[in-house]
Amino acid sequence: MLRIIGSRLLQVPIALLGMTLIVYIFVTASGDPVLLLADPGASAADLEAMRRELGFDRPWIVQYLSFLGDALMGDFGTSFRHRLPAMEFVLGQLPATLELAAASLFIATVISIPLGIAAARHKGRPVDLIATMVAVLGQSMPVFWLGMLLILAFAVALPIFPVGGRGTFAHLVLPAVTLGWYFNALITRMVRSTMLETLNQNYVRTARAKGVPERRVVMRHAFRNAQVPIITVWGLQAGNLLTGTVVAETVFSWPGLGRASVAAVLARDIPVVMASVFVFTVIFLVINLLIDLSYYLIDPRIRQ
Amino acid sequence: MTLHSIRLLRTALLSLGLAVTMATAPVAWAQTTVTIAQGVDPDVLDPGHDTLITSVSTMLNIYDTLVQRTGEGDLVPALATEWRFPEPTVMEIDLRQDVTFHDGSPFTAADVVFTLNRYVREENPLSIRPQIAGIIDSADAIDDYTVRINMPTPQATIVANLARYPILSASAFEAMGEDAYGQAPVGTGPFAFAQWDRNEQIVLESYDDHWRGLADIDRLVIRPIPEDFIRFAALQAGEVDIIGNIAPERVPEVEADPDLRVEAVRSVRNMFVGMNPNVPPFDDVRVRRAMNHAVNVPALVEAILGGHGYPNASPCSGAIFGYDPSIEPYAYDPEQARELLAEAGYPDGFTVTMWGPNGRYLKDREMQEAIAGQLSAIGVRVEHHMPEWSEFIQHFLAGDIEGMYFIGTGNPILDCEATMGYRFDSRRGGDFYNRPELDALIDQQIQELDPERREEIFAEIQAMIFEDAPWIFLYDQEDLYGVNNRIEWSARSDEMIWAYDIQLAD
Repeated sequence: MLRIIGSRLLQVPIALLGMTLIVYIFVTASGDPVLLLADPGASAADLEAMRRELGFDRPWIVQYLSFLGDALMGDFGTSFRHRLPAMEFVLGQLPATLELAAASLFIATVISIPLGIAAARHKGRPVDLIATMVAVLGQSMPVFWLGMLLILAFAVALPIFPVGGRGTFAHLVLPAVTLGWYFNALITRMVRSTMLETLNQNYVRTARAKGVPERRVVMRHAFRNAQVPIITVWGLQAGNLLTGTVVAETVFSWPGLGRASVAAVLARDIPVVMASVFVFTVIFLVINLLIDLSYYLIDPRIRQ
Repeated sequence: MTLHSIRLLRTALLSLGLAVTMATAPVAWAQTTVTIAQGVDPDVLDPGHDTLITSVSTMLNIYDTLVQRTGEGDLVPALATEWRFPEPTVMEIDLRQDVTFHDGSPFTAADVVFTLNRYVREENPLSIRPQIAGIIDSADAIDDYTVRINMPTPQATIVANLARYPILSASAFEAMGEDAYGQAPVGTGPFAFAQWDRNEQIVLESYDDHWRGLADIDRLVIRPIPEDFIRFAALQAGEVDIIGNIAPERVPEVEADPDLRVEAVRSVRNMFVGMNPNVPPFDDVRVRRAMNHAVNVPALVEAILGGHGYPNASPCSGAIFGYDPSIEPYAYDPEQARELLAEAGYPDGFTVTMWGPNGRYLKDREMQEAIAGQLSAIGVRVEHHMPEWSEFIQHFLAGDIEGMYFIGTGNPILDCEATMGYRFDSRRGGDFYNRPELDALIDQQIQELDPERREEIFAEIQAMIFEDAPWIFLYDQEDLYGVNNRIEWSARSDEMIWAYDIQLAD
């Protein structure tokens, strides 16, 4: 187990180096950021002075290495727009995104797993039909569109929930449902198909022949074996969910990092972009590590 | 009546009285909050750094200026009470006394001097510098309540410009440092900063000791909601009271709602399609005039803006000083357009690029496509480049446009001199078109202190620009606001929302 953690931790600096380099290339390739930051009426001399102040007059590689050196010390520079330390700003926006992602994951998981298992058990019956419908609808509805629909229905026509923003529990419901919907569909399908496969296995027939109660057969034998592929997909999608929050955050004006990082890219606020990339990469790596650890805990074959 | 029952009656009456008092007291103490939704959150609440129109609108509730522009367009004393010009390039200003900042410290000349010198400084220039450089050289204090402003030349627009320099607190700025001050500003305005949850809301509380007197509302909340649809839904749900930039097709919907109304005003914002006159085919004035004849502006305004726009053949919006209403737009005449093109050597038309932003101005995409459609009728084939705003503006500011470009001009001082500076003055940048004769007229107008004579110079300027046709002249926008009927408020043409004017409807 320590070997897994150890090898994963070694990968972290390599992944971070690669990510920051790639993103840095892209974000600095698209023209002169000073033009965006300065007032449209700024003179050439003013622009030159701004360039010097922000260090854009140095060669690119010097800029990147300087960024890297400071980043290793924890200093991601100051946001061009907000005049706050970039990492402080990013970490300030993060909790809202984590809250939204966690709520979406929770809603999706709590619905999809029982639904998928029930659909597999009662294949061909009404439950299965419902589960399939949910899966198809969920995967074909764009997040943006669904969000707008929910707002029209449950915030304007029936003023049950607030239109947007963050604050109370009520503010969380619509965004979490919107974001979790696609995820829910995916996992439902995954659980259903994996369960169908395991329920067809020989050992299940054996267990039934032994007289094991059906419930135990399904949960203790079939589901446990289905867990590995389910967790794999769950882990992959959870990472996607985190970065997919940007759409839900925009629709519901949810003040999170997804929205803030996109705004930073559009404004070429390089320190914030780099700090966001760094944070997202670390989160992805942590999720991957946790997924790998969970295999270790669930599947005895891996422990050997 | 027995003593016992009298006591009982007395207790009952007292309880009743107490209950009534307690029931009505909360009503008297209830806080009135008005919520405004904008498209973006400010970067910082420091006017030196953030010059975006929505940020300025928020900041003008926190800070005061020396002179104030009223909703009707007049310039009235604010932090300045009187002023005079002992010499043509020197302005002496008497400051209002007994004004305090939100932290209780007194407002004095030191704050004005600090603010203006900071805005205009050359080292580490601020984003606001282009709005003050060339107008004010420096400021110094004559005494605690008198300030002297030094200008490079006589400036006809100096008073209008003073309405756009929010005055900062020198002592708070020095104590907190620049960055902290921009997160938690201190001003003399009617609303004091209370809290800022980034990308979520800015909360301002009405300032008890404001020199104009207490505002009618207790609390102002500004929420950044980037999506048009969501802003609109929030208005309909009653969560916000004022939103701007309503799409014209939404107007009937708002008017049909008994709780809402539309406030409309002719905007300072003037839209046009510029042509680069240094590159063929637009180096020929006949071609440029042909383009004007080929575009049917009233039809565009009717079809795309639902009539909410004002066709205008002048670069000066009808809402600002200097606008000449006597200019007749180029007639819509595709035949004449074709003839002019043939004369200029393009009988079969030509292909040209049109750059413009997508999603920045109201219906910008639809406008560009419609104009291209009208131009195709005279043989001009348009290739569109419609990136998002930041990419477009980079291209534009780099001068990297060889054909046409769709863009608009705002105007913070409600005086066409600002438009001259942004678009036509070759020494201040200007766009692609400029002429020495035009520069000369611009210089004249800057220094001419007689408003009537100034208007005559502006008439000459507009005639010259009209003849030269460097643009396809389009229209002034009509700013449309959705407002909840629980508040009384009228829209201003300078795109500001000044909450002191907001009152609760009875």
